[in-house]
Amino acid sequence: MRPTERLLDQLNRAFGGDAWHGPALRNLLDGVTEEHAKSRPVREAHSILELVVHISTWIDVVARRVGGNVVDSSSVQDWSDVTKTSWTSAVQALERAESKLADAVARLSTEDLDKPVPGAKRSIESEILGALQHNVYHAGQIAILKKAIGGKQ
Amino acid sequence: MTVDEIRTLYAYTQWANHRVLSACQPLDSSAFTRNLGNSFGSIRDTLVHVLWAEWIWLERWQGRSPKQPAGFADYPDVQSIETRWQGIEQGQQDFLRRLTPDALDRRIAYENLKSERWEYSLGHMLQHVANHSTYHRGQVVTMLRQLGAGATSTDFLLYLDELT
Repeated sequence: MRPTERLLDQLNRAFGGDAWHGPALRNLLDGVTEEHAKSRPVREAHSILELVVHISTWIDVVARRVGGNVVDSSSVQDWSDVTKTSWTSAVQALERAESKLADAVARLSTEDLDKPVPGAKRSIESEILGALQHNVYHAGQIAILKKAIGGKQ
Repeated sequence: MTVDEIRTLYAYTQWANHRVLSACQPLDSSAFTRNLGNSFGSIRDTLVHVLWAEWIWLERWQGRSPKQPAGFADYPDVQSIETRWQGIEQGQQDFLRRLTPDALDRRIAYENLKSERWEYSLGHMLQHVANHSTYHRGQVVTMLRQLGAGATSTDFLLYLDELT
């Protein structure tokens, strides 16, 4: 398996495929209602909706960088105001962002992986691994929030 | 993934694990072992599960199939977890130092705790273990918030920024 294929395989597994570490991110969102997504079962933690918008924001940033664009992190809204965001639109935006990233990774050659991200020192491969780790990390949090919501029903 | 990136991924995993352990340090014994209703109940049990998984997969990469369960009660506090983890980290570093690009596609067979035989490429196993630790670190940080304790950031890009 070429390095780019292995990366793409890991991205796909972690998002909606056969993840080994726990439930894949997209699969965790099945059965989550608008009410659940907007609730805050752990008072000091983000809601599932806030997490999903945050995740898709950064997947989109990484997709644009991998596609050759300079994206300054300071220009990115890390945590957005989601009061007017519907759950359905948030999930659709997440799916679009992930698809955009997968397309960008699929177009890379092995040599591209060592090249620096436009406007930064880290490699393109590090940028992709960062997105993967970010998705997995927040998937773990969504799993806990779902359990907490279940416990409060 | 390349061998260099796998090594970076494990250096990151160790950095992030230690940050989470440091965030857990102020918890008293009751908070550390309190059942919060999650998959592994308490912060202690979640951390021990991660520690145990890193150990058992390190063994499997080397062709061994231990059957010992996690033994949560063996770890009464953060320090006991940290001490055990140091030996596992050393084993991971030794293994990764010898890793070659062609080894990533090598198939390795092992038996799980139920003595069922499985076989995967080493590259997949290596990525899996790092993902597994990250997944549960996210949970521990949320559990810290459930307890009203201070959390910490373990973002991969933050790690890379600290290196430069």
